[in-house]
Amino acid sequence: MPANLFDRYVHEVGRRLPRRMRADVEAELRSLLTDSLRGRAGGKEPSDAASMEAEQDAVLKAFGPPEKTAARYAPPRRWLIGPNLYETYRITLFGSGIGITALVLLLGGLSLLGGGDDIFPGLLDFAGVYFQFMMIGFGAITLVFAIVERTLPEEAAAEEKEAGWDPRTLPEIHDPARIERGGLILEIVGVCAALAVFNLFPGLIGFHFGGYVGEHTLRWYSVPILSDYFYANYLPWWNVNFLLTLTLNVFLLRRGRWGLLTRIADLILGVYGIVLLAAMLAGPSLLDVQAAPTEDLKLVLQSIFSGLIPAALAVVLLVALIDAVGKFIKIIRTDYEFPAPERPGKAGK
Amino acid sequence: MADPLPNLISELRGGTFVLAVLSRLGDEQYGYALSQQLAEQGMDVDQGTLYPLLRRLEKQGLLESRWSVEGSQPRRYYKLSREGREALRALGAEWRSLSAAVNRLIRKDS
Repeated sequence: MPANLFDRYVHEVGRRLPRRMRADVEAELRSLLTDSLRGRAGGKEPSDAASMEAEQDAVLKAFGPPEKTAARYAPPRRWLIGPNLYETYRITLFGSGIGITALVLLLGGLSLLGGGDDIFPGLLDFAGVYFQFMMIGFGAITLVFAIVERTLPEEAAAEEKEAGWDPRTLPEIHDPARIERGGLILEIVGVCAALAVFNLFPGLIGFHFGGYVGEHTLRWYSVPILSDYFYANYLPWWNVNFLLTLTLNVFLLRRGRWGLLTRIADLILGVYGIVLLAAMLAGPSLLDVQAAPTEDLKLVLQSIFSGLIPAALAVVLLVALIDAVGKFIKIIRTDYEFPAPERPGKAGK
Repeated sequence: MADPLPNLISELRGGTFVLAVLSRLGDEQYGYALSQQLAEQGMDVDQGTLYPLLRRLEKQGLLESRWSVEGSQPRRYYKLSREGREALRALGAEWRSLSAAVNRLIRKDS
C-alpha cells in the first residue's frame, strides 16, 4: 500500500536534514501534522481515504514544501548547496555522471578494441580520463550551483517552489531495505547457468559454425576459446564467488529485507569479483583457439577474440566498479532502522 | 516594483514572535495547542515557522521539552526553563519600553 501524504512529507523533510536530528524532527513533525489534521476536523480524523487525503493535502499546503520546512529546521547555513537547490543539484549530478560514464565507456571501448594485446596501459589511461572527466564535470556543476545558491535570494527560491507546490506530487517513499525479488531470482538463475556452463559444458563457450563437407553434408564445428589457464586458475575462484552469491541471494529471499551485514557481504562479493576480473585482465591471455580445424580459422579467431575478450573484461570491470561504489554509498547512507519508528525513541530534556 | 509593505509587516511581526511564544510557555504546551492559543490572541504564526522556532529556543536553553506518549499519539511538550523565565522578564521589559517609545513617535507623526 502506498504511504500516505504525511509519511511521504515527513520522509522528504527528514532526508534533507542532518542525520543526528532527523529521527527527532520526523517524530515531532508527524505529531504536529496529526494534531493539525485533527484540529481541522474538530478533533476527529476523516473516515474515508479520499477525505483523509484532501485534509492532509490542506494541512501540508499550510506547512509549505518540504524544502522550506527542512530549511527552517536545519541548523544555521553551513552548506555549499542548500535544501532549496539540493534536489535539483543531486539529479543534475546523477544525470551528468551517467552521461560521462557512457561517453567514456564508448570512447574507451573503441580504443581498447583497437589496442591488441597491450591492454593494461590503455586501461590505466582510460581510468585516468574517466576520473578527469568526472572531476571536471562534477566540479563545474557544483560551482554553478554554489554561485546560484549565493546569488538567488533565499525567499525567491522558496517562493518560486511554494507557488505551484502540490502535496499530492510528493514522491513515494523508497524503502532502501526492500529486496527486489525479481532481480534476485534472475541473478540466481544466471549464476546457476554460469556454474553449469563453465563446469559441465565448457565447450559451449566458444565459436560455433556450420560448414559443408563435400556438396551435401553439413558439419557443425565448435571451437572452444578459453585457455586451460582460465579453467585451472580462475574458474575455482569464480565457483566460490558464484556459490557465495547464491547463498546470499537465497538468504535474502528468505529474510525479505536487506540489512547492514547483508549489504556488506554483497559489497565484499562485488570487490571479490573486481579483484578476479582485474587479475584476469592483467594476467596471461585467456584465449586458446588451438582446437580450430584449420590454420586460417585459427588466425581469424585469434584476431577477433584477442581484442574482444580483454575489451569485454574491461567493460565488465568498469560496470562492477561503479556497482561497488553504489553499494558502498548505500551502506554509509542508509539507516537500516527504516522505516522510522512511529514513536519517538527517546525523551527530550 | 513589488509592494514592500507585506515584507515590512512580516519583519515587524517576526521580531515579536519569540516574546509571544515565551509568554505562553509558563505552563507546558505542545506545539499545535500553542499555535492555537497564539492565533486566538490575534498572533497568527505560520506553523512552519513556529515549530522550528521552539526547537531553536530549546537549543538556546530558553525552553525545556519532553515527549509524552499518553493519549492517542506522542506529543512534544515545551515549557520555559529558568533561563527562559529570565529572558521573558528581560524581553518583556524591553518590549514595554520599546512600544511606549514607538507609540510616542507614531502619535507625534499622526
